[in-house]
Amino acid sequence: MREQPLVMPKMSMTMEEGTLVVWHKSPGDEIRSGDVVCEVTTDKVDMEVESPLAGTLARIVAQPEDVVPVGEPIAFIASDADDLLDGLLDGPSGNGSAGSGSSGDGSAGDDPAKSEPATASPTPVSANDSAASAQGSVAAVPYARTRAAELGVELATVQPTGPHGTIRVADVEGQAGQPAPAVQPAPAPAPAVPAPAAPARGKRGPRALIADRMSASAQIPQFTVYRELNLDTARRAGASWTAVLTHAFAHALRAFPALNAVWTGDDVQRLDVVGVALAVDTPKGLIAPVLRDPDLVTLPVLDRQLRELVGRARDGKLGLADLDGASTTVSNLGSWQVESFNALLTPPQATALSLGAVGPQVVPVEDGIGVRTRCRVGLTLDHRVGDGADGARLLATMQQLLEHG
Amino acid sequence: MDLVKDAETATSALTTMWTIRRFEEAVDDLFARGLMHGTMHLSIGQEAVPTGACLALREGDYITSTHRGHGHCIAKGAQLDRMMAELLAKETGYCRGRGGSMHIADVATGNLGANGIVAGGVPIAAGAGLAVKMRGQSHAVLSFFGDGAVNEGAWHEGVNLAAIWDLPVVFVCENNKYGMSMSVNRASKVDNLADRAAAYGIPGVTVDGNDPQEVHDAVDEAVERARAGNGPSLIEAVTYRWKGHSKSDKNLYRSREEIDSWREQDPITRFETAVLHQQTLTESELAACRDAARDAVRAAIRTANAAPDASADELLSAVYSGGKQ
Ligand SMILES: Cc1ncc(C[n+]2csc(CCOP(=O)(O)OP(=O)(O)O)c2C)c(N)n1
Ligand SMILES: [Mg+2]
Repeated sequence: MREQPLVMPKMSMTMEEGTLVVWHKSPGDEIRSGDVVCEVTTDKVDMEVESPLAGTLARIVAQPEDVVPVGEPIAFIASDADDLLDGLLDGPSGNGSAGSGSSGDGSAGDDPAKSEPATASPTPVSANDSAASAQGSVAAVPYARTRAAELGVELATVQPTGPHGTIRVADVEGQAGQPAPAVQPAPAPAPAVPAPAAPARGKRGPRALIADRMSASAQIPQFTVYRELNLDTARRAGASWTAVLTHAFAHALRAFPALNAVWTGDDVQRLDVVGVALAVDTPKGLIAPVLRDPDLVTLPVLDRQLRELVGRARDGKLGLADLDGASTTVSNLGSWQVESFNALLTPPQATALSLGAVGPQVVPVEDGIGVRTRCRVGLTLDHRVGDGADGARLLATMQQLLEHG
Repeated sequence: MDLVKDAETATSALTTMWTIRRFEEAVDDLFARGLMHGTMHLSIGQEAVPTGACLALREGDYITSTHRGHGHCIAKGAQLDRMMAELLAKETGYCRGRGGSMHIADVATGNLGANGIVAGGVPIAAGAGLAVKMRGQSHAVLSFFGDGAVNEGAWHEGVNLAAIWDLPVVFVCENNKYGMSMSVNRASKVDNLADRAAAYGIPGVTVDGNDPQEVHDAVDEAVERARAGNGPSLIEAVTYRWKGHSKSDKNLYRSREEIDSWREQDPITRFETAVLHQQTLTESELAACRDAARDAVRAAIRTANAAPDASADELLSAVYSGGKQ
């Protein structure tokens, strides 16, 4: 019988750390392989952790609310089962990336730095990468690139003879005989968004994730355009106002593909899917599950999907896939009679839409004063992705859609 | 071929099943520790299907595989270290570390490749069958796919072509009850997916996919039929995956009780019990199979881990031909 580590498992391709939520087993409990021993949360989704081994839970080393990097022990299990990886990952490897993991002897004195998985630290942009991409921005056929690399020729200095100014193999080889002009590769630009510091181990309460996201948002040059939308003639078909406005907003985003996008750190990336995250207030805090292509279903169907999604969010039944792929987030504080508010962007999304209260308002009309059903919405934009007029046009389209269906 | 009563075959079947299980457990652990790139799909619980099926094949026969394909590769004789290297993104991997779990192909053993596209292997198998037929060879082609694949257009087209041209293909459906979270009962109106065979005028049978003998017998008969020029067959092997569909599966669509009840029908435990009962192998011979599998997987991890990492520098050489003359 030996103590073997149960590690904070990586449960999605992007997970780097998890927060312990609750233990379902206590020290001394018998465990079968496949039993759920605890739950951890990542990106606010609770996931069950199954034991990979049969044995007895010997020691628990991570308590609820502890944040543990992927791959570090959260408990030790006394087991007769083979540890398949025992001793395998300590030796030299290609890049040392697999040289982590616990050694399996259960010693708690493992140097945490040693068992930090390489994937947990963001890769800094190296000068090499940027030189490569500088080469990449010159049009050249692939084999010309290969030859340029082999011959030590700077592509930027080659005179292209191919169509549309494309460098051909012969151009590179012709240049190779001549002395290379002294062109220095441009210095590496600083990354647009500062790389987040490596996560520190420790307790992180439920506000921590929102704090991280919104602090990152505060670095984004963003602005909000407001508009009163007239809803007198909007088709409702029994749907909630959130559904009606989300439907119109998604239609408008599809009409302005430049805004259905995310900012990738150095460029705009348009998305094929119109992914609209919905800010839901739950007992465990704010969470934003994503509706995919809500404009492609009818309003009554969207209304149903929306209720179902909000229900699952409140019951803690969302999966990680529910949180992926949004270009925008819709928040509605209208039910609290809030007239209007400024929603911050959730990086890397390009926009956010805030919905105020829907209700009758006294407004000037052609022949005097009238009462109209209206809602004040605010569209926040990442200024790197779009300008004020882009936002204004999108809201104008929303208004048209709401008037004419 | 009697898998249970013949000592050599029993040893081979058991070692293959344990190797698949151990390989995937190791992969699961490596992923959990953050050491593996990309996502992957594990077939733990389904080992009897590829094991029984591939025992009916011989050298020169082909398979096509799926997104859940580690078992198919191993049962068809792939090298574990090259598979592991592929998953660890090493230069020595089957696709030089560029494809990962879902793109392992090994032409040397007739493995025409895993496939990230559901039902993607089915037309490929029909094509391979057509090649075999046009060349006048007697090889068989075995196409593995899941229950989700049978509702894809490509599946219909591939099976229909194989049927009308009497191609030597065996279609093996690994019905593990779900396509992602979609229960097979909600996705198809027929009671058995093998009933679909009637639509193409080919034989269809449903077998216990947790019994390598039953799988083997059905595949063996179908392979003989194929080699004799009598065309394709459809075999539905009913089994179950113990693990989530891929990573980040919360199992919201099935109950713990259901998973536990299938764990109790572990194909490996069942086979070991049957082999002991028949006194084909002793306890210590069973243990030797387990140890052999463990040692092979550990050796594969050691070799793969020591290999150089795949490099992004010359990815294009896999895209364009003639890069190096
Ligand atoms: C053509 C296509 N559609 C959808 C997907 C997404 N997808 C990946 S696996 C999967 C489920 C496949 O289920 P099944 O065929 O039963 O295989 P299993 O995962 O159960 O082994 C789906 C829908 C895909 N990869 N390809
Ligand atoms: Mg399935």
